[in-house]
Formats: sequence, structure tokens, C-alpha cells
Amino acid sequence: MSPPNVDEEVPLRAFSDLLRRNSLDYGDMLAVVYGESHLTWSDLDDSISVVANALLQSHPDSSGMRVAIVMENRPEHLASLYGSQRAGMVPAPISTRFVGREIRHVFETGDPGLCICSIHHQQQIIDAFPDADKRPPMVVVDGKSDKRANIRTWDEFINKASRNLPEIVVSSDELGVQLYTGGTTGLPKGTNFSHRALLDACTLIPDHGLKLIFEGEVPESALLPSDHELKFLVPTPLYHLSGFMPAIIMTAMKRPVVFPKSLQFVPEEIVKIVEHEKVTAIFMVPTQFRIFLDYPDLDSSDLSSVTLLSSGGSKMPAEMKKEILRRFPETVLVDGYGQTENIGAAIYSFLTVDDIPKITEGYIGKPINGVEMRVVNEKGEDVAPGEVGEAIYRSPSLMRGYHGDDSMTKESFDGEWFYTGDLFRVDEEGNYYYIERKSEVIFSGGEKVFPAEVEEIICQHPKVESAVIVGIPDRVWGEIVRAFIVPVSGRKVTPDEITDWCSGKMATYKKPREIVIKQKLPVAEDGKILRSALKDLNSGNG
Amino acid sequence: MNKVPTKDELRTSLEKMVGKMDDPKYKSRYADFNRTLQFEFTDNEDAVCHIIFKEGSATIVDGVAEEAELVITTTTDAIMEIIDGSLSPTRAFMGGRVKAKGPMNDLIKLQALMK
Repeated sequence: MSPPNVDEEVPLRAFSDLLRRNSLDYGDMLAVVYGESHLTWSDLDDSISVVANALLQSHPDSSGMRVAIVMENRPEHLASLYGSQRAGMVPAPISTRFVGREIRHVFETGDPGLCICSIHHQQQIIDAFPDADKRPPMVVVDGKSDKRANIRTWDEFINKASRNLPEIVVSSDELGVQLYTGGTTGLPKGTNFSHRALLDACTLIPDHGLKLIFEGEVPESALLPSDHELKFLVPTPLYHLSGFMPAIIMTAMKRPVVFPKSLQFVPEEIVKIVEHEKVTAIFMVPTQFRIFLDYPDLDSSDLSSVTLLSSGGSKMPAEMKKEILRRFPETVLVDGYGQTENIGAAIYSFLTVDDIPKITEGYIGKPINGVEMRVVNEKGEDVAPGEVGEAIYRSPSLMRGYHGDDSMTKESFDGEWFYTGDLFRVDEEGNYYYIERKSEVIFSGGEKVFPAEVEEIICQHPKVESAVIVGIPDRVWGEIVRAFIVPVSGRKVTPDEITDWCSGKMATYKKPREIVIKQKLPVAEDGKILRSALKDLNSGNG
Repeated sequence: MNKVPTKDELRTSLEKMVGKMDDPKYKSRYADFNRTLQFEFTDNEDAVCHIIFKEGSATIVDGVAEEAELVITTTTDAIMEIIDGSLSPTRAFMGGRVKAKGPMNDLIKLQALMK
């Protein structure tokens, strides 16, 4: 057996240098699966250089130019992402669900010099900018060219580009990506990251997993399945942290990612891919987990290759964690807390079926090595164990700042410390418990009401599926508590039953003054409840 | 530029790494790990050695093992930095300072031992 060829020194400056490294060392190993296509690290690296050269041909001397990417998860998305980096430009993956005002906001503030999209999302951009002169030129995967509208096809774009490595030196301090925070309020914000921050995130997270495995805190099967090599199915979108983060980490670990082909989340497809590709790990947001768990043929499917289930994007209810571990007792469930602002590298918990008794609402775990985290009061002083305060952290993977919004960047940082806007408490052992967004705390008659606490109590009612508590402005109390209740399917629940249920279980000021029964609540694409939309709703039941 | 570590210094460092397996907690983790791992050092070819993992124990042997399932190519200073904790094994692997040929899961398992 001969050692790998060592024929080129590749210092890791740009994140895309990792892809070069993978191609040189592990060129014939699998990197991406998309339907029937199986690309090796060599194939992927070649496609990245082709895109980089195509970009440099069409936009010479454009170092730092934003390249908007509006595309489903597919190899061309990765080629555009890493190809922009290799050309010294800044990829900006944008939600494929944005329309009109959102697209205009992102394009007008981000000022991309080019937009690469797929045929499925071309129309959204054209609709947002009917006047072609007001938007950047477009390259459309599977599309048709239209010179008057400044649209080229992907094939035309890459047609004359070489697959040689372009002679561009990118510093690790330059920007490597601009990600948009989904946000549950207001318009999306662009967050800027250096290449160094991306590389550091990819070091911190696997190092943490290895440490836990070595210390015996986590079963080895989580990262090292015994029967199959680690292979990660990523149905979460690359424009969102929940898809971006697993994709870049697998690149660092030199292991393949698998993308479903459907544009929507289809549990049957997920199961088929797992069976066919012998997938060992899946990342899903809680909403996808719910659909997956409710899939009628799930229990009769062969998911024996899966050893790791990972979640993020929004808070997973404790009951769902328990259900997953009960139904997949051989798997490790990874859940955590992170934000787009630090590539999700903050707290991870690795849970097994044995951990079910310790799973309580809000339990997250301990911060990862290399990330310093504290919970502070309004003066910035550390709070005592058990007390609620705002989490702040400093970490090598933190963003540089919000794009084009210096005042918001300044507000969010105190020196190197980033203020998360999220409330936590920490127990004596250093475990973190998520309480909620600081902005969601209700101030009623001088008292603080934490919605999660009230929601948890109401959700214990046998007829209640979910509950959301918001504060409504009130002339006397400042704010009053309003509850939105979704009953269990097929059951009816009345506001009086909820009021009775709350009596004796919470202080009077926490009890909902108004109760609205709804069949459905508005959610953002990552599964977070759109509380801002609920605040604006009239209180009429329905 | 740092001096290339001597073969003895390297050996002491590797002994320290495999010494972790004496801890019962780790011993059980490697109980079923029966593999031969070849180390090749690009900065000191004389230091070539292999480690035989068998039933929870590990033995360092000089020279080449043709039957090695896993071949790690690195430098003596990189491996020593990893073992003394000043270089992240993930980072070394990411950046190609440690390259492996063989089952990737075995390498990840070794990364855990190096930490």
C-alpha cells in the first residue's frame, strides 16, 4: 500500500483551498451525491476552478465582489459557492423562498455583481426586478439564455473556462461568505465571515465531537459508524446555516454529503436515499423531523445505517427529542445552540437513549472547546447559577459584522464579546438551558414573564398540541399576556379550560389575559414560530 | 525554523500517545480495534515506524509493515505538536499536514487518540 501523493503545498488561506487539498489527497473518494450523480473530490475541485475562471473572465479585477446564489442544494451550488471564493469573490447564498421585497432588499444592500440561480428560482428574481437594468446579470442552471434580459445559461457561462487552478492569492482575512440570517422579525441581515472564521468553525466543531468520543461522553458510533463510512444527508438548504454548516464540516472531514433532489422535503425520498446510499447521518430542522417521524412507513423502513441524527435551526421540543431517541435507540441525537453569526459553533449536546431522563425543556448542554460563553446581567456581570441572563460569547468563528450596518454591529459587540440576544440560565455543572429571545420577554406590571415557562405549562394540557405566548401592549400594564393555542388534532379546547388549567400553576401576572384558539400558527422556513406575525394578529378565534 | 525532532524524541511522543490506552476507559474503546498503522515521516525517513493495535493494546515497531491497513503520512514535528496538544488533529488533517490512506473512520478514531 502506497502513501498518498504529496505533490503540492496548499496553505489553507481561502476556504476553497480545502477543496484543493481534498482533491490532491483523496481525489477519487466520494464528495457529493445528488440523485444518480456521484462526484469525487477531484470532480468537485475541477468544477470549482471552472466556475472561478468563468467568474474571472466575466468579471476581471473584481476581488470582493458579491456573487448571489439562489439555488436548491445541488453540485452547481457548491461549485458556485467555492468557485466564488477561489476567484477572490464573496459568495452570498440567498433563500430560495425569498420573493419581491426580500429579494430587492438583499440585492440592493448586498449589491451582487452577478446572480447564479437555477431555473426553479429564476422567475422570483425577474419578478422582483422587472427592469433587467436594475438587477445584476444572471446565470441560470438548466435555463435558457436571453441576451436582452442579460441572462446566460450555466453551460454558456462555464463553456470557455479552464479547469486549471486560477493564479489568485486570497488571504484568510478576506471575506469568505456572506450569509443571511433568516430572522423572525424584520428583513434579512447579511453577516460577513472571513475565510479564517469558516476554517476555524470547521476545526472547533469536529474537535469537540472527537474530544467527547475520546472522553467516553459520546458513543463512538456517532461519528464512526462501524459498518459504513460517515455519509451525511443534508435536506436542509445551503443558504441556511442548517445546510451550510454540515456541508462545510463534511468538507473539512473529507466525507461526502448527499442532497435530495426534490425541491420540497419528502420523507419517502429521505428514507429511499438512506436505504440506497447507506447514509449514516442526517441533519433536519425540527419541522422536518416532525414530518419524518409522522411518515407512516418509517418504522418498516431500513434505517439501520443511520447512527447520527442532528438538528438545529430552531428549538426542538423536549418531547420530540425523547420520541426520536425512543424510536431510534441506536442513534445519537445531536442538538445544539448556535447562531448564523458564529456558524453555529456554540453549544452541542450529544444525546443517547440513556439521556432521556435528563432531557428537559430548554436543556442544551455545554459550550464547545474554543468558544468562551457567559451569561450576564444588564450590567455585563456574570449571573449566579440558576439565574437568567443574556448569553454572550467570543469565538474564532464569529462574523466580522452585519453587512452595511455598522450601528447594529456595534450594538451587538462589546469588544470581542458578541451579545446573542438570547436568554439562558446555567446550572451548577455548567449546562446551559435556553430560555428565550430577550426581545420576547413580556414586561407586565413591572414583572417579567418568560413565554417559554407559560407555554410549557399550557402544553401539558392533554388537549393542547402547542402554545405560543406573546405580549400585547396595554395602557395600564405595559404589556399583557396573550396565548395562542393549537389543539391536538381532532380535539376541541376552550379558553376557559386553559384559564382553569393555569390557575394554581403560575403567578397571576403570568396567566394569559387573552386566549386565542388557532388551528395553525405561522412559522418561518426553519420552523421558528413567527411571533412578530402573531403579535400583529387580531385576537379573533379561528 | 525549528529543528527536526530526533527519532528518540518522536518515539517518546508516540509512546505517550499509545500510553493513553492503559487507561481502562480508553482500553475498552480500542478493544475491537485490530489494525496496523504505518507512519511515514516526510522530514525524517529513518523514523518510519508502525503501531500494531491488538485487543486494546498498542505496540510501536520500527520499520515498514507491508500489511498496514492505514498509512499516515506526516512530519515528525506535526505529529509531536498534535500529541502535545499545540496542533488540532482536525486542523492538521484538514490542511494536509496529516494525510491518510485507508479507511477514513479508522483515521478519525486515531485522531481521537491523538487528542
